Amino acid sequence: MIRRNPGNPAFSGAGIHRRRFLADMGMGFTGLALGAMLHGDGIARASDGIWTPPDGKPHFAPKAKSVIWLFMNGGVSHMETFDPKPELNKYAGKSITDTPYKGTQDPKKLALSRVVVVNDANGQSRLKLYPLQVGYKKYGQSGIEVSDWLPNIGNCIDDIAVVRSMWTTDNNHGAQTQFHSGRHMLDGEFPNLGAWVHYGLGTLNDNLPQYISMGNREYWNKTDGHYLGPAHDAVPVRVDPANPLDYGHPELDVTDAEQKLGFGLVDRLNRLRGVEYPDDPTLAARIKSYELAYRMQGSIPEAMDFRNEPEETHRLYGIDNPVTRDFGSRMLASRRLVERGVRFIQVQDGAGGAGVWDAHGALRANHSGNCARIDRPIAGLLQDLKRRGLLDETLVVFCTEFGRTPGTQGSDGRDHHIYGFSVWMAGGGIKGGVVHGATDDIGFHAELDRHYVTDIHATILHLLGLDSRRLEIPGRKRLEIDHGNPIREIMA
Amino acid sequence: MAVNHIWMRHFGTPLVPTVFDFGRKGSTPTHPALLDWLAVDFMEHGWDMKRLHRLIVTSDAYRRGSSSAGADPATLAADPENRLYWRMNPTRMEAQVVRDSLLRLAGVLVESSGGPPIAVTMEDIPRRSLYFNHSHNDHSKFLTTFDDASVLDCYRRAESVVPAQALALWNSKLSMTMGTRIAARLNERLGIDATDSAFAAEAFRTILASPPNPAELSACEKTLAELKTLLQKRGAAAPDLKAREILVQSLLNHNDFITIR
Repeated sequence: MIRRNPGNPAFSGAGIHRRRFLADMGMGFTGLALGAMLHGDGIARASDGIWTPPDGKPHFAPKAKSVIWLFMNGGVSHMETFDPKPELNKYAGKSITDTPYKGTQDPKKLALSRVVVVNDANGQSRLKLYPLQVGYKKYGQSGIEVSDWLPNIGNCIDDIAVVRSMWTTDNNHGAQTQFHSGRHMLDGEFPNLGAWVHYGLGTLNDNLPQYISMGNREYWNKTDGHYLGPAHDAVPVRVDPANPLDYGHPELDVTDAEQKLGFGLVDRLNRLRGVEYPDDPTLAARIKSYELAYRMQGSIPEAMDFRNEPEETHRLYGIDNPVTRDFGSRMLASRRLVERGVRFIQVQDGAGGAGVWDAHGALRANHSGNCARIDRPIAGLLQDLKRRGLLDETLVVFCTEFGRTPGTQGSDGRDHHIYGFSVWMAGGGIKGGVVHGATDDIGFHAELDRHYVTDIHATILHLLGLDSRRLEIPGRKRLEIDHGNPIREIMA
Repeated sequence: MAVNHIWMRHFGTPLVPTVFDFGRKGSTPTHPALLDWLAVDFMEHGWDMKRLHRLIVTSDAYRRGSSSAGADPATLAADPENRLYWRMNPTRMEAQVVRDSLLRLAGVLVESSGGPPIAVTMEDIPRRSLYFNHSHNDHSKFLTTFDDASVLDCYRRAESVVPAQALALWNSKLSMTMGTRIAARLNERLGIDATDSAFAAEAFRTILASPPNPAELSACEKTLAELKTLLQKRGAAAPDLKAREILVQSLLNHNDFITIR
């Protein structure tokens, strides 16, 4: 493993002559952000002159500094996790149309669905009600019901705000993209939430990238920034201290000390170029990006190295157990990154196929297994953040692209369900122990306080002190629904 | 629309900022008279693109330098962002040009045209980068780092500045292998007796297409000397050659290697 000295004397800044260039470099993070933005979108610089790119400061006082975004790929059944529906047991095996809930099949309500593939084998109406596959009980002082498959998260429920009234429109897994960008896949590709946050806010730590992703995403598009530019794509890292980054260490023989001299020379030569090109924001941005690149080679492996974490912490996250080790490691890495100052961490659970949670059949085996993988690690993350005083400034978001049908698919599965599903948030600025919104008694439609996915984005941006309308770029008009509305009822 | 695209590819900025949208939601041209004149001229000469390219690259505006050092303070104050094209815009090489330049400098680029596409996993094949497969699922990791084309549209490449580019140029097998070959070629060209100073000057000129000024040359010489000491200390084989290779690698990481001024 390569170890590097973060206080690197190679970047002593000698050779700056021009005052203007010095001023540019003195802008700290904006040197990078500004250059990347000016050249990233291109539209802005030639517009009417009123618009300016974000200065990296929040628009109003933030409640949270960082976000840990946990996305469960495939579609988590709301009924078997955070929105139990005993009526399903009562009417098990009956068609919805033969129950008091036949009103849920009102074609007007079902028109929400925006189909990508006509007559798709999945994403269909499933009328024969399927009983709950797991029990549930009330947890915490708030007494919120949580599935028996998630006892550890249940024990944290007093720190969690559950939103049980989500809806979306893509009844296939393009909804993964939709949950991140706010747009149906047929609309094209748009920046996702993490990219907006990265675009709007400055850095918390010069040594680390501010938008990091862990885990594969296969069903939705590969980039994050889109029209905001690749500077706002997440930096993918692996929880592997030996190899956490692409091109993270030299692929052929050169020692750290030798490369450090090389980096130092590049820095000096680029700064000398600044004499001749004092007004070149790209040059200034490149000098900054080389500093971060050099430091990342050391800071990322350091953040991914858990050897100095006590046994007790490993156990808290379930790293000692083969079932929870993988997800637990990503949760511990998330805490370590937040602690070191990373703005947005996007964790994807279970890519491959359409996502591991996609239980069209054998739902009981699928969801009990998946819950077992994530329950201890996520609870460990919440507990660890809390005892370190980090939960107050860190937003933890648990989400998925859609729920699953109250009716059965085949004999023992549930299909995709866009009309009502659950997500939750905890931490910075969120009220703990509350349930917001509700689905009807069979979990079909979100009925009370309905929320489209961008309301989650708006809530997060609001807690970070950002107004999405003030981030908008000329020539890239966003719609009302892209902005969404913050869910004030769950804010502390 | 066509004139706007061609202009953008030469000057780095378009005349209508919303290259993807000339409709009501698009922005107005920054230089409407110029765009009009070019468009009419283009049509009146039989939509001759070659003529349009020639007209642009032989223009006074195109041949200006990109430096703003020594510029009139009034100009700098009035138009710091160069909206009026009083100087050239520096632009970043496209991803394919970055990779092809590495191969070309190393003398291994195969410039023949035609033939089957290259799988993205076969980055070692020294053909021009445009022969890589490019689809929703197939992206070359190296090219992606430098803002490869979108699969869905071809309006405009992004010119990002991100740390991953530094890591790709410093650490990738491609860049390191080519760096070694470039150094070997330079040694061959200059002869074994060439001084470090002569090597540094020639490497600078070859890689950055301009001679080093005295400060730049002395920075290179100083680093070469430091590298040699370091390499000798760890008992590396052929420390002189290795130091020169690292110098070349450093110059490949210079801002101006991937910048067109």
